[in-house]
Amino acid sequence: MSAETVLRLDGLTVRHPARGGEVTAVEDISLTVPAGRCVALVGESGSGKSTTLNALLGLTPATARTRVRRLEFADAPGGAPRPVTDPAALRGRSVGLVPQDPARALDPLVRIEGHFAELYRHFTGLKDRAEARRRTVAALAAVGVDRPEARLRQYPHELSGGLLQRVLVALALTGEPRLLLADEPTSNLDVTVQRRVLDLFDALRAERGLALLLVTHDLAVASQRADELIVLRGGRVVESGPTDRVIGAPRHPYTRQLVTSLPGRLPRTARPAAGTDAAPAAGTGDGPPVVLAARGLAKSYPGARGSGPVAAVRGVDLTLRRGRTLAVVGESGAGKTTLLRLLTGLERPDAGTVLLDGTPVGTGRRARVAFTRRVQLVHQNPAGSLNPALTIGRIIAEPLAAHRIGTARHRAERARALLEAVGLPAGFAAQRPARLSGGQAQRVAIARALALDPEVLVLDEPVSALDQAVQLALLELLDGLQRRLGIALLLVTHDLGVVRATADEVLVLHRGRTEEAGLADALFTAPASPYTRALLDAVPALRLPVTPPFHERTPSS
Amino acid sequence: MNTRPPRSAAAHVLRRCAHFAVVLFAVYTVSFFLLYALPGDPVALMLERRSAGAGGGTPEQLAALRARYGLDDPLPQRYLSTLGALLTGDLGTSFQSGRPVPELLAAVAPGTLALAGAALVLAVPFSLALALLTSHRPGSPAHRILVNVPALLAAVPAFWLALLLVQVFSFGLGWFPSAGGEGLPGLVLPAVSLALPVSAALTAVLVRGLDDVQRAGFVALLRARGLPWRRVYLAHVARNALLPFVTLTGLTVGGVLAGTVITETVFARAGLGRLLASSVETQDAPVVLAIAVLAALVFAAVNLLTDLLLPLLDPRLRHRTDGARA
Repeated sequence: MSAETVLRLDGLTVRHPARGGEVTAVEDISLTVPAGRCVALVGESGSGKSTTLNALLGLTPATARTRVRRLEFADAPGGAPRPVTDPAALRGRSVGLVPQDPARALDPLVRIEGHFAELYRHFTGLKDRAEARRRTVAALAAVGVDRPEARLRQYPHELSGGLLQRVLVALALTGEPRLLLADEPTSNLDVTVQRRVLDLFDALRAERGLALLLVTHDLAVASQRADELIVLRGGRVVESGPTDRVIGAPRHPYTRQLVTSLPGRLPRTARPAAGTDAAPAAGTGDGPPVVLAARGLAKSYPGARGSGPVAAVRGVDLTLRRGRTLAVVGESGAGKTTLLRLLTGLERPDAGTVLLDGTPVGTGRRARVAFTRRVQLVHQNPAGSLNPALTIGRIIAEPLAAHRIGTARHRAERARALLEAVGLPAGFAAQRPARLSGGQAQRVAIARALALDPEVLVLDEPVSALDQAVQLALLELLDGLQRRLGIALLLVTHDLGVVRATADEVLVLHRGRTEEAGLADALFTAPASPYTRALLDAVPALRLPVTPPFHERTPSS
Repeated sequence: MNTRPPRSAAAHVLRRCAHFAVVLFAVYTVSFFLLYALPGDPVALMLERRSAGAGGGTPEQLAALRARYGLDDPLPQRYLSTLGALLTGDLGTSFQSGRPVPELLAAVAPGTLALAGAALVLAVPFSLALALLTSHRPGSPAHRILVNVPALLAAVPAFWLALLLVQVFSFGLGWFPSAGGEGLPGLVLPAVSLALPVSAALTAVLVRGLDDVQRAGFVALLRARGLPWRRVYLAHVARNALLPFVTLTGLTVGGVLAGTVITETVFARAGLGRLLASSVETQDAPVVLAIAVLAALVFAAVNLLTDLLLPLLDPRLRHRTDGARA
């Protein structure tokens, strides 16, 4: 650990004005990033990660009060860190920022080459377009963008998320900074893409001696990539130190809780034993009766100009048994959402049938209404799926009202009972959804889905927008509900940790086709398809059906 | 579902032009039936006016006039013949003055076009400047004060504003003529009183747009790369916020045309607005119809233009690939 220090931040406190005083966003944060090393700031939403990053670049809102005991930055290799009075001076040339959501991080009206040309003009006064283009192509090639010449004339919306994140890394490097700040750089990307982007960071560190301050909520990512961890909670550092030590022997109870609440670490024994009773051989055995099934589902959408239709789902079969959980996994673009819309009757398949209790679902209005009573959907974005104008009680009772079930009074009672069933106080019924946290909002959405006593609950990425501890609590809730009510769950997700924690059976989608399907245990321990294997390998925490990754890193001392 | 077949840029232009034709046709149809299906006898009204209230004409005169203007034909037949005439460029003859409609329009149209044009020329740069100034530093005292200006302007009734301007600048200071007036001096007050409410709406939308774009992720990132705020604001924030502004400016042309009716009346200017008002009073159907179709033509043409312009400004609108959900 003799690497020279690039950034030293000592005693950062940021306070925001609030009614009747001030709210402390972060208090007394100190961190040091050595050259060529990766330091990870780990914490849940609201822990002060973003505030810390913004303060490092002088981007905190003008109303906030920022105090720093000491901020030092070493601009030249080998030079000693020098005090920095105005952090805005660090922007671009000393510190590069890689943002969280690549899809929204570029001006949509400017071509890729325009973004680079603007920065070259600003940093070096370069006005020659041909020269700017040459440099842009080189910069794009350096971060592994394929066909860089073709990208110059493209607009941001024409690039995929992984490609955009590479472009953003290249942009962050144009000022030749010595430190990269990466703000949740991969949380919106697929696991395989996430892995490639994180590999790029590692390569840049090795090649250019770049220091990396990685901000993430994902302890698994941090544990794999960082040399040092700083765990934040409520704006304070609760624990910091070398990664192996923090993960292997956490001192603070909160860190211990983080380590144990990784979804991938949810004890499998807590599941209703899927493989033990009569061991259904991948969907053909006796097992519980089949509730929802699909045979040869296919759907395509009209494609871009000049090209033919795009097949989103092609010939997918699936079987969901009573009281069991089937997880549909795949990368974005694999057809997960389309499959879900077909299974819930939101769209009609081009070919194939959906069967409920073995009978094909009719296409008439009445058949569809009957179908929706028994198959309910929970959306990905909990806050967006709740009407902000209604009280929570009305929201939960809405399916009952829509199907004209019970009196108004009966419905209100049912809403309160459902709130308690999902672990929320019944008093919430009178409130409006605006004040709910993400986890609470998703509980309300689940309560609403349960209002009609469905047999199947279809969940679209139900926990992907939530913090880790909240994810765990929600998955435990679903597990409990399933055991109590015997509901079948169909879970659509890209998070294999969630799958491993909850699913009895797994269906891997790849480009609209079934890549592999089977019992979860078998699929995780011995995947048959190379694609599934690649997917499993890319998951940060999940190389561990045999040896947990944390123990791999346990210090030998 | 809302899945549409793929289409090319040419198909898009054709589709927009078809919309344009449909709008014009609809305006003609609605105006025609509103005008001719109304109770009241335009011919009797016309004779009464012409004879200066001296008892109108004899029944024979009325019948002769009706026959001359084709008012005895059944309504559907008149609808079709008027449509045919319009399509060949024949706007008909005014009931009231007996002169051809194009002649009447040509006499007053330049005044109105000058007024509407001047109002837009004032309103668009004014609202642009005010909005850019307001939004430059969100949260600053200037922002908090200026952000309320549009609402204030919009709350003032147009005619009251016009009267106020006349009171101050014509009767009080004597800088500009209060009524009629030729050339530039006569144009100033009407144009200002027409432009202010219009710029209120434009400014409000643009300020909102500027504030929204500033919260977008890419703006913070541009600042984090060290670009000066002025550059970020003008080259990125303003450019993105201009997109809804262009659409609204197109729609504003309709508001300006409608506003000329009040403005020309208050300032006693000869113009299409006043001609329309007086023609409605006398049920001079051919004139009203011609003005309605003309206004629709201008309005639809401007919006056709903005529709075709937007894909050039916003690359995301160029590739229309609906569906293809991931």
